[in-house]
Amino acid sequence: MSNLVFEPYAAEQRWQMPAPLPGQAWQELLAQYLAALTRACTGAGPCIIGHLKALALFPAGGYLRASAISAQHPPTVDGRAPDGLQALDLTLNLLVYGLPHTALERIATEEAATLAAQRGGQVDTHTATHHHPPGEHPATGGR
Amino acid sequence: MRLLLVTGFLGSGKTTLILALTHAARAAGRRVAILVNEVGEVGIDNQLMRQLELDVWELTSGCICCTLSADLVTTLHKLDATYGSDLVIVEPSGAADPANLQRALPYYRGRPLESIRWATVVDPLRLPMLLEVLTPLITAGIAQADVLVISKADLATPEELARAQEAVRAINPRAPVHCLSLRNGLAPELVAELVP
Repeated sequence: MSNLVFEPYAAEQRWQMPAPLPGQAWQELLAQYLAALTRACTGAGPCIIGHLKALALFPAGGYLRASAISAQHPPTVDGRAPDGLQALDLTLNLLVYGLPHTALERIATEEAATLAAQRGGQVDTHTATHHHPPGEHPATGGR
Repeated sequence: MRLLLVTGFLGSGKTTLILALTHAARAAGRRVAILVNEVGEVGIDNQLMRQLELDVWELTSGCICCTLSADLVTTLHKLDATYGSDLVIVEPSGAADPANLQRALPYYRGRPLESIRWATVVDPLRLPMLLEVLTPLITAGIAQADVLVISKADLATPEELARAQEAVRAINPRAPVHCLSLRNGLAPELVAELVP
């Protein structure tokens, strides 16, 4: 496992729904998204999920944060979204050993699009620029 | 100025512990600075801490490359000269080798540090797997800790918690071990050990 690639993936996403949602619905949607990401990562090949994180900040204060560490454990969500939001701006970090940046980008984009489409919505994903050549961050240690 | 290093693998609960410790220290009248090093192009923890109106400095944004050590010392010098903090909490990336921090600290030339404490957060849900596949990284963090915090006690089974305690004590028998759910608040004795 010492040769697992480690290429962190980050993105900014805008989730746009056809109608305003209660805050609780956004919380559930975020949990479903992270759960879908853990399943997709696990299904994409041998990997170790380090940490999948998503954060939305709200101008009036407050936040909505979700975190997942494996497909075997449900994501945790804390904070809360205000009621009546039709769009949510999200920062996403996928820290996964074993999957290249390109695979993580595809997973993040496809899972978001699928989940949003089920509710008549859509997601714009903007991948953050990666400053280092692919493969520069190998897994630390291992046998 | 006291220094607290909070290490642990990705997703172990470092940020949650730091938020709780900072809350406790500020309630006791301490001036707290938090230094965060996140792997990834866009930091999340620092955004959250800023939203919560905490005083956060980001170290070498986006990378775990070797400049972290130099950036840590430079930032500590700036804090010493301008901020007047009682307590500095450092959160290195969970993907970084914590030994980098130890190697950097002797280069700090500011006011003498009153204390340097090292807490390592351990995720009992994944510890056996991580010890198997990322052995040096996980072992180093546990071995060098002054205090070990086994998190997610509300999610782990009694067997997982017992296995985690046994594993960390085998690696580091001298550090006290605290098992807790970080979401349920901190025990006063843990706060006293980490932010005396």
